[in-house]
Amino acid sequence: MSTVANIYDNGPISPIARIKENLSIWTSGNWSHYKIAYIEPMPRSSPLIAELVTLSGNTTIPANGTIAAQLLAILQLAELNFLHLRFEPLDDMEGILWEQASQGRFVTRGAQARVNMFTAIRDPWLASSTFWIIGMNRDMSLEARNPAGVARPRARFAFWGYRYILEKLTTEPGQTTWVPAEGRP
Amino acid sequence: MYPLMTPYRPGIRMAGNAGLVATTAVGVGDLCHTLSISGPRTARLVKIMCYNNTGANATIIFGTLTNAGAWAPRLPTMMCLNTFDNIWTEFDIPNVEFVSDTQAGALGTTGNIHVVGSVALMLVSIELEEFGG
Repeated sequence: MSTVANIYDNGPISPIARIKENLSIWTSGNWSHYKIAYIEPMPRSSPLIAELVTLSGNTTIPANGTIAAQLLAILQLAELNFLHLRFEPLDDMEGILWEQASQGRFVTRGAQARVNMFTAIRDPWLASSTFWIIGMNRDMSLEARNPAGVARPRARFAFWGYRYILEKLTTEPGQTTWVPAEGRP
Repeated sequence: MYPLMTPYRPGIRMAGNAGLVATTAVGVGDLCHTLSISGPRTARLVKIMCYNNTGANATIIFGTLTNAGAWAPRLPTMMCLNTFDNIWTEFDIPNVEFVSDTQAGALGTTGNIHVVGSVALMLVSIELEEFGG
């Protein structure tokens, strides 16, 4: 019997299933079913740090201003790859997560929650920042908001987690881990 | 854990976002930190450094402005000895919280942190902790 994390468990990030186990992933309004062929960690490191001021072609992020959602090429995938990630700001910035450029994550009808430097104070492993990216052309974008009353030159965000390689299944497996990969209805 | 903080209310530490401030001896003080408005946040000072090389001892006072633009002191007057590094850490600084208060005019405050120097050209740098989200 495998011991795996529940998908949003508050602890260090760990795979949500093992190799040769199944994943059922919510995307584009449907559950799609896969078998895991391979898993590898994506350690938090400099290639996985996005600096949104430079990425957006600006020199600063204005006081109480935003940088519009930027596509993060560092997190783009090949088909049948699946990323399981958490993230945090390295500067005093707020990160606003979008799937497929326009579908907000962590939303209510009237608000979109952000990940900022306070998030890790109550949630040291950043479990509440967990999100998923599946396959090609289902990329995520990140918007940054500067909470400070002065312009700032940097908006860095670090990502880490796991990459899975999947094999497509044509029918729903008997045992599977259900994962909400996208916020799409 | 910071020595004076209770574990259930930690904040994030930063330098005053005006950087190194040279006093100008104006009545409403010189801006040391513009409060972040997300939440909104509040702040308390955790370290003050003041280098005084003006030729005589002088004083500084930290405070904020009312929404009418008037000076609103928040900390007591602090003596800055001439040619000394005048340093106060969070053990020495009253746990005063700088708060944005949106009431109009003299009833409200910006919450931004200002310093009034009794003479010009003292160099002041602060470190603070912001609370909120």
